[in-house]
Amino acid sequence: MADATHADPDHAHADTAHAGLSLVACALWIALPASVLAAVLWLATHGPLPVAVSRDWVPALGVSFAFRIDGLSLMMLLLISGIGVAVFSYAGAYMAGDPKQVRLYGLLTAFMLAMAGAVTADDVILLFLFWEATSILSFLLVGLKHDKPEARKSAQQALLVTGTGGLALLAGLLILVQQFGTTQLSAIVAGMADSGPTPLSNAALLLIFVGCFTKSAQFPFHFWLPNAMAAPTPVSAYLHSATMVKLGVFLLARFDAGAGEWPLWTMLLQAVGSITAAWGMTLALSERDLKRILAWSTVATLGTLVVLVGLPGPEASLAVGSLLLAHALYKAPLFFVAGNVDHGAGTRIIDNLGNLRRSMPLTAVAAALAGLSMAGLPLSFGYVVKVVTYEAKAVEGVLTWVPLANQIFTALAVAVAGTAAIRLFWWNPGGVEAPAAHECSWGMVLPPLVVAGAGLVLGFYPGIVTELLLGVAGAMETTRPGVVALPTPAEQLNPADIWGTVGATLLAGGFILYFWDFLHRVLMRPFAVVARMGARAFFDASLAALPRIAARVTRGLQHGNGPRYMMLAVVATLAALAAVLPRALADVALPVWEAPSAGLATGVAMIVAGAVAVLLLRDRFVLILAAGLVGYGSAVVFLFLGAPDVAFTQFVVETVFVIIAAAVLIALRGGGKAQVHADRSMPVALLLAGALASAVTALLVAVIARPFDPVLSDYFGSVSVPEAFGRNVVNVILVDFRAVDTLGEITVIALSFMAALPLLQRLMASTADIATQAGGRRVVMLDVVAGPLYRVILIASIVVYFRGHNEPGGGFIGGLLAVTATILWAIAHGSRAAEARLPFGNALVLTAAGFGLGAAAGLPAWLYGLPYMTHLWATIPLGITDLKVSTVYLFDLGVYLAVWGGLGGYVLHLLGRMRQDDREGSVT
Amino acid sequence: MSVIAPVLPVLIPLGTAVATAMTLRSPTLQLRLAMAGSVALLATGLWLVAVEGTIPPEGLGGWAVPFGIAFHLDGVGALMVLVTALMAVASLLYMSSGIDTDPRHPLLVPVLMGMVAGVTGAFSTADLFNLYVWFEIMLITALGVLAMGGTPRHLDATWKYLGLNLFGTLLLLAAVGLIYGATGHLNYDALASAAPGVPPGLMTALLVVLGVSLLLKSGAFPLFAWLPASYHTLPAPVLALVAGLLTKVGVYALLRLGNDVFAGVAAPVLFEALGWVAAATMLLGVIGAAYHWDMRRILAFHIISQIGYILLAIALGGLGDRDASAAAVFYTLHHIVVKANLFLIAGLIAAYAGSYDLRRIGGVHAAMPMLSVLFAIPALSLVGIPPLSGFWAKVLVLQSLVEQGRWVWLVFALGVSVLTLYSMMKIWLEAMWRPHPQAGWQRRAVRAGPALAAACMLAGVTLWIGLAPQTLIDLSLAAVADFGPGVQVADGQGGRP
Repeated sequence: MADATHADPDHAHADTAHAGLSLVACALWIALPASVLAAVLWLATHGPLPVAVSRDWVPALGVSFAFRIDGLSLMMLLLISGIGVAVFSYAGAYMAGDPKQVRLYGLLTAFMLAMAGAVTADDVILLFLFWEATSILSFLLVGLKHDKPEARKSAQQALLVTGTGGLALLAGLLILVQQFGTTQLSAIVAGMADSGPTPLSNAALLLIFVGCFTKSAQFPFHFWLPNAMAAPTPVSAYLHSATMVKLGVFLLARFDAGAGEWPLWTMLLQAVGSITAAWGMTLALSERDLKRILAWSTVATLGTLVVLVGLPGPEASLAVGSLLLAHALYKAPLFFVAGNVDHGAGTRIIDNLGNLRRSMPLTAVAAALAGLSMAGLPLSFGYVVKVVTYEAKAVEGVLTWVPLANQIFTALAVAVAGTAAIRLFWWNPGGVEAPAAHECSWGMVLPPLVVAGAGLVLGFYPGIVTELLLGVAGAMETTRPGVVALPTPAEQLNPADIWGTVGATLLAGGFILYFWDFLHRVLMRPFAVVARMGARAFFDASLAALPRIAARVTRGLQHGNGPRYMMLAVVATLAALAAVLPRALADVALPVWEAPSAGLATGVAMIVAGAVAVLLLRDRFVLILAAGLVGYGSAVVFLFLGAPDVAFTQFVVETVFVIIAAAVLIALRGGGKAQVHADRSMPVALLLAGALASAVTALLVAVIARPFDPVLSDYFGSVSVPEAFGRNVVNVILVDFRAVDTLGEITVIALSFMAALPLLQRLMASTADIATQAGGRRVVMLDVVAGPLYRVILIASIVVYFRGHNEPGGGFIGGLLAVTATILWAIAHGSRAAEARLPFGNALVLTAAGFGLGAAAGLPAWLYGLPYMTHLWATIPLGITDLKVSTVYLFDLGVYLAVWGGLGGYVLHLLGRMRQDDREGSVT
Repeated sequence: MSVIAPVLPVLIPLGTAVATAMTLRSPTLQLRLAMAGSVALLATGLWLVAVEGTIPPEGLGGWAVPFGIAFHLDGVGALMVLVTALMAVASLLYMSSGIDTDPRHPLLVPVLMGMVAGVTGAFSTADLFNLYVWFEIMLITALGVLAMGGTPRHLDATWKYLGLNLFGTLLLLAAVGLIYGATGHLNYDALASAAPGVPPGLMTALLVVLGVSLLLKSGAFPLFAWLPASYHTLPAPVLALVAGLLTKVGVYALLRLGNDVFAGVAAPVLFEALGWVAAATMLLGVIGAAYHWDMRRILAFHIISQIGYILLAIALGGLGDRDASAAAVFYTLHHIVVKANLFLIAGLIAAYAGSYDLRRIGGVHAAMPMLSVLFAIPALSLVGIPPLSGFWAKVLVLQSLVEQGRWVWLVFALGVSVLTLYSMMKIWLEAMWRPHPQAGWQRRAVRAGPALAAACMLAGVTLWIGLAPQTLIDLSLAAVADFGPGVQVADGQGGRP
């Protein structure tokens, strides 16, 4: 609306900018639709129809590049290319000098090709492709002037409506594809005619209707079309009058041969089409902008077309073809006229316009020619359509309200035609005359004159298009109708017939034209009431509600409270488990309770005590010890379950953990009480944790109630010594049977150190002050013993590493021991000194080298064509005894180094600021 | 070659991680090494796809199935490795332009390479516990890249990521342990053979534990809170890699375990439930996207929504439609490329226009029309506009829905598409079309060459999939051809050859 009220926004830069196209360039662009038109005309006069070509595209889905041109396609192609030539010519003058002209031409060309594809595609997937392309291109064209908010809004609205419809269409088409086992459109239509309606195909049809109704602006999706008038005039004339909005009607017509006799088809199309025709036309009365008035009349005409598609009989099919053609021939010129008026008089508001014939004589002629046809006066093609339509409705099966709706539609159409042709140019009820109105250039005047003139020529010689119209009818019917005689000029001028067909309509139309402003005022209030309840209001409300609903839902789910996320996750897990646990427990005979051994009970008690203590205690040192209790408890459990090796490892891990944590606390002076979060959700969280633990335990009980299949452990036990040459089965599993797991785990250690390092560095930087205070503390005793002790622990760690393959031990524990040595050195001499003593003098490089070595240890196997990580063994005779060497030791050394570097690195950084001399420069 | 092949996808990124960790002092060299590794991985992936999963399972360490850990790169695994490599190349290429990652932390590249190793490991392995190990690596590296930001915002994100993912990891570990306890096996084929011996009720419960843990990793409703809480804090190239790959590993594991390994014993009710979870996931994801204005947050929520589509395909696959499993593979591959590219392009837009927040930017179309075209390709593909990759992905899923007569799910799928369109249009309208809110705004000077090249490369892949979908559909169909209860594993003696 807004751009109609101020002067000529399209041409603001017309005089200054030279970014527009030259005449030659325009001519080249126009040559594109012109060549298509030539091809179409050649086809119309030469080719036997239908013409079909096909090439496989996606055989897996049965989709092919299949095109088929029959009478209906031909008619659409004619409109697309013929109106295309007019629109391209008009755009040359209309957008002259506008930097967006190239863009407009580019988009229009793409659009033309998409339309041509859509009306010729004989594969439903291909059809859908072009269908969506027209929607997207329409979005881009409506939003051509996208710095204006209303252009963006209208573009969004148009695409949302047609996009939604497109998805419904896709679903409908896929159902049909499924039902008929092919994606070929013509085959599907033929199949529909054979099979008759089924519930599934009716559902598909309904979905296809949604697609077509949105595209062709049928009630209740009619509201987007007038808003799309934010587009420049060439776009409105091309997309929103002559071609794209006809695509829905086209597709319906396509299916007419298949489903035309189905009750759902005839009933629904007649009903929806009639409502759209009558109501859409009435809504024209609510507008003052000429372009929007024309847009409503387009909506109404599309409704009439839908009614005609819905009517049974070949006469109706003939009428569809005629109206498609006639509408394009008068509506496109009228849109051009609206563009010219806007250009010449600076406004499209009809109140501010009148008597324009003086300043814009040629445009006035064009408007008159188009108006004649739209009003359906004799000797225009519009009259021929009237006659044909009249005959179409004389068949059985027409709903009673169809004629009534048609009366309203035709009478108002006369009034709209009068508004555009008479009121603006020959009359001035508003009394305001545009002061500086001027005629437009030839480029903007010729296209409407020629196109509207063609409508008149066809009124005189309707015989020219008889073949074409019969072709359309033939495509829509299962059998091609016989020869039909369109009314000759002499027949058109038969007074009795005139009165019978258009007389009353003309009178009523004239009446409405005369009282247009009065009716507008009277109807404004009811229009407003209906508008509040209408589909547009629903659309707007939905669009406005979406962010609100989205906000509520998303804030409800994504509230930012971590503990509540956890609780939701636990609740979800519990809910899922609750649904399946009863059956799981019912499936197995639960084991008889056996009293655990005292040792096992002790271990379990330690774990529980530690866990509960962690929850209750606040003193940080005690907290660490309590957490350690959980680990030691686990170790005890392992011990009494017969896994001393694992227990040993666990003890070491836990000890190192406690040492590290305590050391860090000292370094950070972080002793004392931890803060207690007063969290009201704590009891709920406890309850949930208890429930989840119980559920998992129940599942565990159900699992162990059944005998365990020991095939893996038996195998490991039996081949560990003879084939893997190790007596410590746990270690053999770690370094040989499942070495790749271990490789993954040392990678985790190394990567976790790398992942944590940036954080550690930052943390240390922020605690520099604390470190200064802590600096200088030295334990003299340690200085003395650190040297020898460091060496002793390292040697011990190497021994543990080497004996691991046969006795308890291994690279992991060895690495942990080495870490304690490093801690010792760090406490005695500072982290930097400790790090300097590491191999490579750098914890990061050490751990990376460790897991690199671990990974590399698997490679030599390839030399022998063996799978990765197949360990190689060799025996080196030493005289007294033989020394067995193997890549196993290399791998375990990798583990040792990765653990030493990774965990050692952690500790060194956490201790890093403990001593003053470490403060400058970070470790690593 | 076939002896080497199954481990290369893991060893290459692992080796690259070691090499880049050793070259912290030279960022350029680091990036070159990583690029070399990624290109090598890409070549490996291409070769693996070319031989179409004909490489037999390999018992690592020379221990025969089911005793050792087996790696098996079948069709699905090969395709996933290929797309992972592609993502790594794109991310590193983008990184070399410095957008969003300047100054780059020296440890970023090694940690990312470790993440890639975790991802490829999960795709390569045929062993349940080993799968868990690779998930651990992904978790730790994801935490690393999140924490590298270092600000409280990043740490909050890290913390939430850690909390929920740790829960998922523990649940996964519990599931692995329980399943091992119930079947005595960890090898996929052995599990497939042994699982029918477990009472069905118990097996269902075990699969629920496994499924819930993997759904959390995939970002499914109602377990996705960690994803939108953290992803938006990452810089563009890292985000592209993380967002493109990590959730998809969860999805892959669900597909592999649900539709392949445990296909014979997974009760249909599980897949029914999965279908509803998928429907809720796709809807709530897209609603979350509609709420936000930060491009990264919008796109992060779209991950969830699209995961819903893939889960739906998996559910349909589990309900007996093998083509739907292929659809899940196709959808996953398409989605990884498209989603990563959207994050990359969002990074470019933010670099040029000054912010990720749609309310603070605009005018991109007028200033850089080609960038908006570049954005449109993955954006329209995400919506499912033909002939882009997302359209075929969607058609494959919709076809299966129609075939099985799942009308309610169909309505969900279509409705979510509309909202996806709305959401992509929002970015387009605000960032591209609306004039920049700052008067006299000029696009910033950005050294964007490599970043643009990365985005163009991925857009090219999207276009290629879209215009010639047959290749990828064939590959996906072939990849799942052997899905289902596997061949009986000889319970005989393994041992060294």
